[in-house]
Amino acid sequence: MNPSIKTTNLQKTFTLHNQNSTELKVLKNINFSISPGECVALTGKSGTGKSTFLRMLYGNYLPTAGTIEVLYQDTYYDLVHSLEHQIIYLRKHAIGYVSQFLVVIPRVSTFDIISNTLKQQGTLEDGSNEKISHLLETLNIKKNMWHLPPMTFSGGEQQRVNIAKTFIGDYPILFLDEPTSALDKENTKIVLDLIKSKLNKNVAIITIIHDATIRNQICTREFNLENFTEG
Amino acid sequence: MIIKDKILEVKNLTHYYGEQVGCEDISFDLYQGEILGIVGESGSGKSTLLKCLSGQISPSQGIINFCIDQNQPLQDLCKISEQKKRALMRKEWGIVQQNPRDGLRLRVSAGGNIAERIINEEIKNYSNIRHKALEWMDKTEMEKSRIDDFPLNFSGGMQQRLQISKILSSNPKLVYMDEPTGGLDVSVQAKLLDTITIIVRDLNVSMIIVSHDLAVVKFLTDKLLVMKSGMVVESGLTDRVLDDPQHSYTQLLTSSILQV
Repeated sequence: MNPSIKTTNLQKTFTLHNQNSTELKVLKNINFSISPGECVALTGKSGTGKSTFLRMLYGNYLPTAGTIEVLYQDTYYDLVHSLEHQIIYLRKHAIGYVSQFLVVIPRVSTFDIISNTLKQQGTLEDGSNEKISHLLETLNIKKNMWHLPPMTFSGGEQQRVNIAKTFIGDYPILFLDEPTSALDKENTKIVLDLIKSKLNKNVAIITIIHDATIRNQICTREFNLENFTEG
Repeated sequence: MIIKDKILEVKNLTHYYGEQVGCEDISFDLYQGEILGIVGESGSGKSTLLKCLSGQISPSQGIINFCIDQNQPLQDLCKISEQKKRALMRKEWGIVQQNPRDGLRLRVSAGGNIAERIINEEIKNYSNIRHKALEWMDKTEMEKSRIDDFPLNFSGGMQQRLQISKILSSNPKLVYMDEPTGGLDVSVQAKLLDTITIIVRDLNVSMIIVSHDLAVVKFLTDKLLVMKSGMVVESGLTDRVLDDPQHSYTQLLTSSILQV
């Protein structure tokens, strides 16, 4: 099967122009690939560059050298040299990103945040409300909170809304940055089950999870970034 | 698969005020539905660039190609007639002025201000125009009962809402906004940004927004141009430019934000 993402000699150095042009050489020579149905955990000590790597794959950080190719509908797109609207398109359709913290727009309700994903993907239809309700119920978000903006929700509730927002969509690739960090045991299990069902649908998942026991329940492979740091 | 129509193509745009550089050698493309932010300190050439693009001043050099008709190649704005340019300004472009008083007739009713923009079009019937004006006031969250009042007596935030209603009512292809929330207090600013975001997402209109407020551009725009001394020093996806700035000036700009 063709890899969902492949990188060639990916490198990242931060140059801090206003701090005497200090160079922070974070990552180099990363040749990585992930296939559909795989769940790869990024590992390595704090500060190794796990988030930096994930952010490059999402187009949020600019690689210093190397290429990133993303597969969408049988075509590879070079993320480093794509136009802005093409990257935005890939983010709407190909790569779903569950960040550590939910970014909320004031006054937009929980329900609308989730239906907006379907709207963006052009899959909002008559049965969508039921689908959204079902997912929110699965994630233990109480019904009387659905019409509220999640700004005032607890950390765990916000994290589950964040997961619902991305998991409702039909993305062939998912990035999960600490998806269970604020969750109790019961809700962690629910989220892990949702992740497993995505893997069964051949979604390629890259995740950062510190807790090894949680990691081992879903990940098919570990990718240690300590092997790609410079001196 | 990922193909969008280009609606604006700017090449090597330069404008001098006498010997003084207004903006220099600016090139970028804008696609259908894209929202571009232009940031930079006062005097960096943001407003000069916006004025050139929107036909308010003629650039000293360079090309501005605009999509007038989807089925035809883009046309150079510097080469079309004044008459045609004015027609474009009335319908296809909208310019939201920083000071709403510059974009409104203060002694014409709120409804009349909106009507002025849409009366040239298919709708000539009075009640239809009034209906459409009410619809737009509703979308920008203005009280509909104020339709017959003069904007002279509106608050700054309300005047800005009215100006936005007026501009968007003609369903323009491209909207220019110069500091749309400048001069408004923080709570009014947040609400207005919210309204703009929701409307713009639904309309799929292309926009160019000039602002010195990074929070505003982060919230509203897809991509950014960072300007300094009349030149573009960095450009790219908005979150990329703000989270991983490459140029020393952009790094200075993003590190100067106070965390609340």
